Amino acid sequence: MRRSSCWPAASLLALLTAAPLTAATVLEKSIDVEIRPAGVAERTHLRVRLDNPRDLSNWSPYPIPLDENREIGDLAGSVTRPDGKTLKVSRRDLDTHQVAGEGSLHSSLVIRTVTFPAVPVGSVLTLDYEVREHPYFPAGQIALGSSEPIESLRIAVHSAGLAGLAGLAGTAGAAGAGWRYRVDGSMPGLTVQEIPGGVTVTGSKLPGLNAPEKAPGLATEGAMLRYAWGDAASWEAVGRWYEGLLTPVPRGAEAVRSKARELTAGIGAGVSVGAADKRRRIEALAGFARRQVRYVAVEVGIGGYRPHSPQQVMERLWGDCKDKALLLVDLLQEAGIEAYPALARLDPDGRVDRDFPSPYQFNHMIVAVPAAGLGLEKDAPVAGGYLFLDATQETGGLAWLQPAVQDQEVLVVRGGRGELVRTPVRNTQEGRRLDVALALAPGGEASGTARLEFSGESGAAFLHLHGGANPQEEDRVIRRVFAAFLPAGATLSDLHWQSVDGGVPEVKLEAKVSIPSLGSAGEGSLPPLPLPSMAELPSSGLLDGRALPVVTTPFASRVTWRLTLPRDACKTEGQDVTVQNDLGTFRQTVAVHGRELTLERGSELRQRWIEPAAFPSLKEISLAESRTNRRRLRVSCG
Amino acid sequence: MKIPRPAIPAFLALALLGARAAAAADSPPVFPPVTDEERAITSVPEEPNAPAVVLFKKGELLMAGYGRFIGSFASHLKVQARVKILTEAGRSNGELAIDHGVSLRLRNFSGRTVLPDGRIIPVPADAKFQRRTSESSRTFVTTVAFPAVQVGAILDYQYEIVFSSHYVLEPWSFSEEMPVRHAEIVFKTGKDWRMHVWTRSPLGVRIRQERQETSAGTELRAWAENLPAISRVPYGPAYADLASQILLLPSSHNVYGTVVRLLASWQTTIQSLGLVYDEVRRHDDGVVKQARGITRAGSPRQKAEALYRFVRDEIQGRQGYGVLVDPGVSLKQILAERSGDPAQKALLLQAMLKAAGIDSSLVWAANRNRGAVDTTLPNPNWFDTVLVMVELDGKQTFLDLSDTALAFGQIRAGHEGTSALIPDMQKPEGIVLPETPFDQNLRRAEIDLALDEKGRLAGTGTLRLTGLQSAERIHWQGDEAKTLQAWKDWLGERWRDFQISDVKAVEMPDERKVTVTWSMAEREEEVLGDEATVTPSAPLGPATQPFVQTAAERRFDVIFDYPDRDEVELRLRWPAGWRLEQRPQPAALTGTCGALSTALETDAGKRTLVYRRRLDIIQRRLRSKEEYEAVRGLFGEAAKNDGQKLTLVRR
Repeated sequence: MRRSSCWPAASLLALLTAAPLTAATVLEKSIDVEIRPAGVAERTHLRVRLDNPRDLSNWSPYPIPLDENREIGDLAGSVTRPDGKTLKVSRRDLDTHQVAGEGSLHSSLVIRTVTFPAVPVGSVLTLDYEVREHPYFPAGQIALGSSEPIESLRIAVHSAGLAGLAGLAGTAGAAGAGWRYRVDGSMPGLTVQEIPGGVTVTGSKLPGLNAPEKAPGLATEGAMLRYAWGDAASWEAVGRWYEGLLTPVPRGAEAVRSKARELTAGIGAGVSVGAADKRRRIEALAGFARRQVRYVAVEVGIGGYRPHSPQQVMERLWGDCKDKALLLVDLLQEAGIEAYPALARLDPDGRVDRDFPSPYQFNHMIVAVPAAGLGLEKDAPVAGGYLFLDATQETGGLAWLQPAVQDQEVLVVRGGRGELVRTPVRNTQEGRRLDVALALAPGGEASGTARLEFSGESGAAFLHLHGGANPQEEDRVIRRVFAAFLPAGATLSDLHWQSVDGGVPEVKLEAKVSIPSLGSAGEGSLPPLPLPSMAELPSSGLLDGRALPVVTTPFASRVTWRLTLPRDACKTEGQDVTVQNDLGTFRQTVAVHGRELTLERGSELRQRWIEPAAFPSLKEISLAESRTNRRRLRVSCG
Repeated sequence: MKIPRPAIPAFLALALLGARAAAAADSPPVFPPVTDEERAITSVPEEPNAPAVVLFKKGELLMAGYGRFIGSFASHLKVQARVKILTEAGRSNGELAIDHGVSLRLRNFSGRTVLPDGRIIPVPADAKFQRRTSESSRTFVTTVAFPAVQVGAILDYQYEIVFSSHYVLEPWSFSEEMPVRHAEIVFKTGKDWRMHVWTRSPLGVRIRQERQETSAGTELRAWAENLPAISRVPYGPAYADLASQILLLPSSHNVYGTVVRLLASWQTTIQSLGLVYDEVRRHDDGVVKQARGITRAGSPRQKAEALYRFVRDEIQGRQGYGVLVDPGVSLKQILAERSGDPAQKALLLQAMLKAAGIDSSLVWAANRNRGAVDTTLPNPNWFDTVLVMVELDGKQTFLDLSDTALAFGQIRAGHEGTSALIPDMQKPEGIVLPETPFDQNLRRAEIDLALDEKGRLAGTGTLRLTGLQSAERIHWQGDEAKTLQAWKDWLGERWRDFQISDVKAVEMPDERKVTVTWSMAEREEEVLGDEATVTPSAPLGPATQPFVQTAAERRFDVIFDYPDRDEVELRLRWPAGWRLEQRPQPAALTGTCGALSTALETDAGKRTLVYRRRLDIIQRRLRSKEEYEAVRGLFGEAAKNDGQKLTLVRR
């Protein structure tokens, strides 16, 4: 199964350095970052008031993330009780935990924890510590907001003689060579001021943040101060830095070359092969990297960024995203297909700040293959002239790129430079289709068949389930999925499912279905019709007073509902709906032919990141769906 | 990481043993040869979709220096296992994690992958990783990534755990989350030991035993064949209640002719731990002064409440070892350091209550999520925490110190109604912890809506939670603003086309009550104008059917977290010119497990209606097929009935 990410992105560190997730009041938060020739010294001073009984357990133990290149300096902590008595944190209140990191088997991440003595509500925790870091890339980032209110915030980043740093020529900006910063996101109450050699961000009375549903991931932190120095100030240079990082990795081993030949044996001849053969070669090699090399992440120090050698990965048949990606690059190149590593951000709620070049914005690696001459289908995940392949996807072919990597900036590392490309959105691949055929009895009961098709990520999830679950569990899941799409009380029998071969993971589920009467007939001539009530699009209520973008997964869904009515001469009029705009579509058509009523609905959302300017469009299609869902279907008979 | 993790012995820190383990000599790994039959296996007939199978897992426990470890009291658990990968999905079983530490020392790990063509690839040194999970407690985890894992590959591994105790309180599990063809363990105990043998074998598994007397003592071999994979099912039993297990508990030890009774009976078990508790209590400087400072005045209840709050809130909670405590940490130390695990906090509270002149008893309690207690085996590890029981106003009150959300006299849902033990050294007493009646675990929603001339619905709502229903929502969020937002979101999910406003929430932890009130109005742009539809069971319905399988397919008991009651009362008014076109049918279903009733009263003249719905689950555990069908029918009827809507249309 894919992992959420496989790169020790600075975002992970930001997460860990951020305060715990709940309440209390941060009376004072001060972080002073001094960029020195020998590294970075980061001093943090925190004072936190406990406002309710749960606050202590949320703040204690307090975690400080460290690593091979981040070590703790001095540390002092204390608590002041409401009666003014101060208790110091002692050495036995400190502990160190080596942790694997999310989705990893092993890593060099270390968490230094500070456990505060138990104190009542109203007490104030104080912590002061220094972390010294030798960054792998001359950059950093600090979250400015948190879920707790902050009474006083002061973040300072400044240099100590950057101009004199070895290897950096000249000075650019106040802080020295290549100095740059940027505040990503917005947060009222912050003041940003350039100072000699750096920048300060201050704020007071900052409210605790509570991000609304479907908000960008950054909304939980309000804003992010990004800073960097050195001459890698462009995406091209970041690509160059990464290529330099790859230099020591042994490549071109005969074992890898031989494997490429073995996997592509019989597919075309030589390097002058046609488009179809090239695609088949890519399929074969990507299939090996995706399905034969299992995902296991081991990230130690710089190994969090630098892949293992393709030969090693191939021989042991395990590796993380960058291991699998680099292996695939080398296999493809050996098969005569140009391919490049591409740094990516696997993040359904986030995106790269393209105005601030830094490798810390990425947490994933995929592969970019020049698309020219491959004869790809128009739905293939191609952008900027590249076909993108994610070697951690265990299902699907060349046609499918998982949604969390769609609509993301990726940095293609090619020819000693980086090229920033935005991956495409392929919403129609993330599809759901429901086909129901029912015969309606005079009493309102209905029976017939139902078929559900899932493609894209949900199709992949089903395939994964089928691969590992026992039949009872699979049966249970299928029944629950049907229950979510059929009227309440529906019972199922004769369940079947099958996978559909193709470039996009897809499954079909089928069942016989019977639906109880949904109520008395009232004054109409037909009992209430068992029709779907599917809310696919974000609710229009999500937009009430909203200033933040809506971030969601684009999709396309379609419902076809065929009802054989218990009597003739029925008709329906004026119930077709079509609303279409740049963002998406909602459509309904209803028709009666003889005794068969056919209702078709389709909902489609084509964008992942919906800015407030597009909210009217979102509201338009959302309302069309919601209102249509709630309206009875009017059928008159006789 | 799905390779079976062996039973790591939970060991008892009684007044034991400075003995050091004898160093086991490293020797080249020797694995049993792979048989033709093992090579030929491609699936498990009884579980055709199984991604992997444990071909064998074997343990050998050499207790307290048995046999070759002359002069040593260390125990050695040797583990050997062989797993075959059957499908692509099975490849995810190619990693292994072993917890160990200074008291459970890992030795001599070796592993290999045997490829389908017979080639053998050892686990290389750079695929084995050790992490220190806690520097202070000196615990580690060793993780391993097997090489070249593929369909048809066989993974072999073996290792040894050495520990300085003769107590292993955690059962050896024959079962795993994948099918197991053969599992066995050999317990080797010295002549001077007597052991209780305890087994549990649900799901039709037969555990066989073979005992052999040797010159060094006794060897008990226990094994089982063709064990099914253990998987959790919704509302199903705990893993520990499904797995086949065995445990040997030392009942006595003959020390130079003197028989020392250990965990022979509940009385001796309690006496053993009681000595440790007494050791903790022995140094209690400051406890009396602190208690008296807190309880200068007031009734016994007020004093008990004050002391309870002090220990609950001002003694930092730490993770503990169930009812076991470290004899080296005294009450004085716990009080001075303001830190203790639940058992230590219970001992401290008991001492403080005594100082305040209030009698109390300790109670060993077992959370049902850890599996059922078998009282025939005097194993203290059945219990996960220590409560304090006091009698106040003629009523027994149980105090749990482990969570600030628990008020005086409240216990967790997982402890309610479970068997517990008062560990009185003279007279151990089994009790059953109190259980909140189902109708006091209540969610009651009252919704008052009116339709206006334009066809817009608006009104107010109140949700009242009591008992264990409220326990889930007390201190639900970090602060008031987040709590209100969370409730607003919860309501908004249930009425997507309504704007929810003016949300207020009052939490009363001491009474276990939460009350939420709000206003609601259909969004103007959602108003249809000529019809209005309401889901009458909202916000507690519509119910969904959690039991999708038939009784014939269901293999396990149904276990709810707690029995409860849901009530909804909807009042709806509409103006002249509108009529009720669609209405839900009434429902009335009563079974052994619970009941459903819905009713609709309409007053055409006043153009009002009242809809009432009640869904009761009155039993926590359902054991029989009939009960399963009954509860399935109940939820089916609830889902069906809740699916019916109220529709008003303009005339």
